[in-house]
Amino acid sequence: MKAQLGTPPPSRKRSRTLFVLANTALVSCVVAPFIGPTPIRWDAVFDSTQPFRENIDAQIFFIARLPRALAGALVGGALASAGVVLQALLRNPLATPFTLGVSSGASLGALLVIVLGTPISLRVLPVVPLASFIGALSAVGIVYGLSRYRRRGLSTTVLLLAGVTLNSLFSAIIMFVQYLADPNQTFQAVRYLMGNLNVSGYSPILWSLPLLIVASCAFAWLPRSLNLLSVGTESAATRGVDVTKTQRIAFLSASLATGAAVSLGGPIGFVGIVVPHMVRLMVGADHRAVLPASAFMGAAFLVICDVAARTLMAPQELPVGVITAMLGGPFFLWLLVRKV
Amino acid sequence: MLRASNIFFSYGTIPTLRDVTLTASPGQRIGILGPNGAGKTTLLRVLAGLLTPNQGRVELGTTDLKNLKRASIAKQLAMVPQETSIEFNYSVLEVALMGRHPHLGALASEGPDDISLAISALKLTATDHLSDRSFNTLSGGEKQRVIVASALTQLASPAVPANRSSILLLDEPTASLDLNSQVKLLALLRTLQRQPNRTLIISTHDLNFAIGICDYLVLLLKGTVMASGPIHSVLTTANMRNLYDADIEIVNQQGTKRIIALLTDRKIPHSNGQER
Repeated sequence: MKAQLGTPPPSRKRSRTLFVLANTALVSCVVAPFIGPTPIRWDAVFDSTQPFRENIDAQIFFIARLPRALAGALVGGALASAGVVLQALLRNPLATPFTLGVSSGASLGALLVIVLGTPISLRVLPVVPLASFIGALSAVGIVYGLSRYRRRGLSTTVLLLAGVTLNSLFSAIIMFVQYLADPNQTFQAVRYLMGNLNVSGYSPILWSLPLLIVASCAFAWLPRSLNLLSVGTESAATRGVDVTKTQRIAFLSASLATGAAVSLGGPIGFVGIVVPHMVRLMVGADHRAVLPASAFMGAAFLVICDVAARTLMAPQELPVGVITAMLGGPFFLWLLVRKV
Repeated sequence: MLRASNIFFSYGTIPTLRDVTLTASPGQRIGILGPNGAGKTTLLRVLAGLLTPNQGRVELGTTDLKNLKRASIAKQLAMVPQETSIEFNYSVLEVALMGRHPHLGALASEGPDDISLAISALKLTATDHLSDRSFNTLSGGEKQRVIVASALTQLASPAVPANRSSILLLDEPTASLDLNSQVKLLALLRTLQRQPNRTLIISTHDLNFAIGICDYLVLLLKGTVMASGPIHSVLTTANMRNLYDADIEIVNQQGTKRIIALLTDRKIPHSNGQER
C-alpha cells in the first residue's frame, strides 16, 4: 500500500474517470438529437447536396434538437458544479444549488413576467429567462447581505437558514400571485416551474454563455481552497486560505451558474445533489477531481434525462424536471438513510 | 518569534482578553493554562491571526500579523484545532497534503516533494499506515495525530534548511482524547520539541499534560495574565489553587524530580469501602 504513495495511482485513475465522463457528455450531446418521436437519419442530416431549407432532417437536428441537447448539457453541468461548490462552502454534502433561495427567486421573477405581461418594446429580449435571472440574483443578494450582516466573513449558518426561509417566503408569494392570475397564465407558469429544456434556436444559449464562462473561470480557481474550506473555515485560514475572499467567489460564482441555468431551463431539481454524490463515489472527495467530473457528468445526466422526457410518453413531452425529481428524490432519501 | 503585546479583545461587548502580553521565542514550549472560559482559545486565535485584537498588536518576526497575507503566515505558523470533523470523505494522505496549500501556486497541484513531506509527517505521527483510510473512519486520537501531521506538512519546507523557525499552536489537544491517546500525543510532542527552532504553544487545562511538555507557562484567568514565567517558578500550589479555585496540590516527586498535580478534593475509597 505504501509503495503506491510515491506515484499515486488515484490521480491516474482520476484522470481516466474524467476522460471517460467528458466523452460521455460529448457523445450524449451528439447522439441525443437523433433520438425523438420523429426519426431522422444520420446521412440525411449531413447531406450537403440538399439545401438546408429543404432538408427537414437537418432542420430538426440543427434547429430543434441540437440546441436543446446543448442547453441540457450546459444546464446540467452548471447545476452540478454549482452544487459541488455550495456543498463545500456550506460544509454540507446535502446542500443543493437551490438551498440558498436561488430557484424560488428565479421562479418568482419568471412568474411575475408571465402574469403581468411585458411591454411590446421589450419583447426582443428573452424576457422570461431575463426575469428569472434577475429574480435569482435578487434572492442571492438578500441571502448574501444577511449572512454578512455584522460579520467580516460569511456566516454559513445564516446563509443556510436565510436561504431556506427565503425559499418558503418566495413560494408563498408565488402561490399568492398564481391564485390571483388567470388559469391560462397559471398553467404557463406551472409549466415553467416544472423545469424543461424546451429551447428552440441558439439565442437563449448565447445569452447564458457569458455568465457560465465567468462562473467556470471562478470554478477553475477554487478547488484546492474548497478542499480546505470544506474542512472548516478556521483550519482553512491557518492553512493559508483567504477565507472571506474564497467564500465570496464560491458563493457568487455558484449563484451565477445557477441563475444562468435556471434562466435557461427553469428550476430543474436534484441534478445539483445527485450528480456530485455519484461523482464522489467514483473519484473521492478532492474537489479538483469532483468539480470537473461533476460538470461533465451533470451535462451527460441532464441530456439523457431530457431524451427520456421527450420519448417516454411520445408524442407527449414530459418536463425534464419531473424526470430528475423522480430519479433524484428516492436517491436523496437513500443518501439520508445511508448517512445514519 | 511571535510577540503579542497588550492584547485586548472582546466578542461584542463581553471582554475576553484584557491586556495580555506574551512572547514566544524559538524553541520554547509555552503552555497557556486556565479554567474553562479563561480566554485560552481566544488567545490562540488572536496569536494565529484568526481574530484581530481590538487593541494591541501581534507580531510575527518583525511584521504585524495584520499586514501579512494568510499564505505567508501559514508558512511559519500552523494550528491544530481542538477537534476536526469533516463531512467529506478525504483520505488521510489528502488531509495531510492540505498542509501544502500555502506553498503551492493557485492552480498548481502537489508534486512528489510535497507528497514525500506529507508521508514523513505521517510517519512521525505514527499514522502512515492509515494513509489510504478515510479520515472519517479514524478514532479521535488518530484524527488528532493526522491533523498534527497536516500541520507539520504545512511547516515543512524542502528548500529551506530544517532549522528554519516555525510555530505550532495546539488548542486543548487532549480535550477529547482517552489516556492512551494522550500519552501518545505527549510522546509525539516531545519528539517535535527536538527541533530547536520550533515553538510550541499549547492551550490546555490539563495540568499534568502541560507539565509533561511545557517549559514556560502563562496562567490565564478571566482574560488577564495571572502569572507567567518558567514552569518551575510559576507552577506552585498557591498559583494553581488561585487559578482553578480548587484544592490542588503540586507535588515534587522525590527521587524522580517529576512534578505532578494532585487533585486532592476527592479521596480515593480504600479497599474496605471507607474513605481514607
